[in-house]
Amino acid sequence: MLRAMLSIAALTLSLAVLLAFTHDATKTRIQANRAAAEWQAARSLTGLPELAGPWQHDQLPLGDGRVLLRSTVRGYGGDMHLLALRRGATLTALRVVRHQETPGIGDFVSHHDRGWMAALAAQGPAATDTVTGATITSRAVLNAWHNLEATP
Amino acid sequence: MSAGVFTAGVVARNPAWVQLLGLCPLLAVSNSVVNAAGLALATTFVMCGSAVLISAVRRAIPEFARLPLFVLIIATFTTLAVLLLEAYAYDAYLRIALFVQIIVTNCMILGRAEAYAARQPVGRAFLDAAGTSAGFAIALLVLGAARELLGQGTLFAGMTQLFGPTAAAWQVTLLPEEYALIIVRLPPGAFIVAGLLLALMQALTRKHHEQR
Repeated sequence: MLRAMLSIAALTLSLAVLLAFTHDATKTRIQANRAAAEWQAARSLTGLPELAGPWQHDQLPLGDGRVLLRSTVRGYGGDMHLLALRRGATLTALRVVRHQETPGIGDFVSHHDRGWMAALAAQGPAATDTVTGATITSRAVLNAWHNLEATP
Repeated sequence: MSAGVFTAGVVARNPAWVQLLGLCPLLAVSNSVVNAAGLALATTFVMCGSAVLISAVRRAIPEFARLPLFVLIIATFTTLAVLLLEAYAYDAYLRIALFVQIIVTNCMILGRAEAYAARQPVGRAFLDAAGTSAGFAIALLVLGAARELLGQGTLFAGMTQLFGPTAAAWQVTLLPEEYALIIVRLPPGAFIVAGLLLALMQALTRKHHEQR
């Protein structure tokens, strides 16, 4: 029995070490990939081909009266990462850059140019209903919109 | 003898067309060749890695704890595959990550671990795993190619996601886009095309049996 427990412990430990090592080895590349994807989304959102940081408290003034905002909210499957454009006190556009919502149910948030996300951008959050079957996902996006509009 | 171990997994015991195992990722991800290839690569990695490790430590694994340990090993290799994919093929990761994550529940892998890798030396366990993955990969790629061709009119579109910029020249357009059947790319099309391919396989193997 002791031998069995020892071999289970040894095997589990070595698997954990293998995972930790790979996590460490891939960490910088994964972060670089995520940042590159975020910048690409930011360039497409603002229409500015030469966009660069640094972010100041998740805000990036664009110099033409617009401010690029970024935010993280809790969706249904984990954190959702968003980018938004604000002019004055109103949000003019919002995109979900990275999310873990259920494919086929909550992943409509990744299409900013059609469906619910396009309707939200056109009519604003007050006139937009949550989506049946994806209440948590859509409410998270609506809340994010309100919060981003309210941030000073 | 050892070649037989490999080919059995590809033909006689093909996980997808003969045993009908691992159909969820097979149907979900096979809407284009690039998605199919990504999942095939990830499955092969998990399958071969876990089979080799299970075979190598098979004498140390207590009989009563073998299934949880197999699942632990398979889950570890699946997580490794997800991390490597996110680091080295980010665009492919965005499209197929969910289905790579559920490789852990692919009964084909646990089945081969329990039935073969846990009782055989490392070399034979590897050959068996490689054969089974090859069989799964062929099924995925055939289904992916059929669905991409009928649903989009192209073959090998977007292969740059997996194989870098040199793969851009691989794309072949065989049908003009207005003749493409969109339903083939959607989930119902997966069932329809997979059913037709399965019927075709059955017809071919029946002919083969009658000739013998």
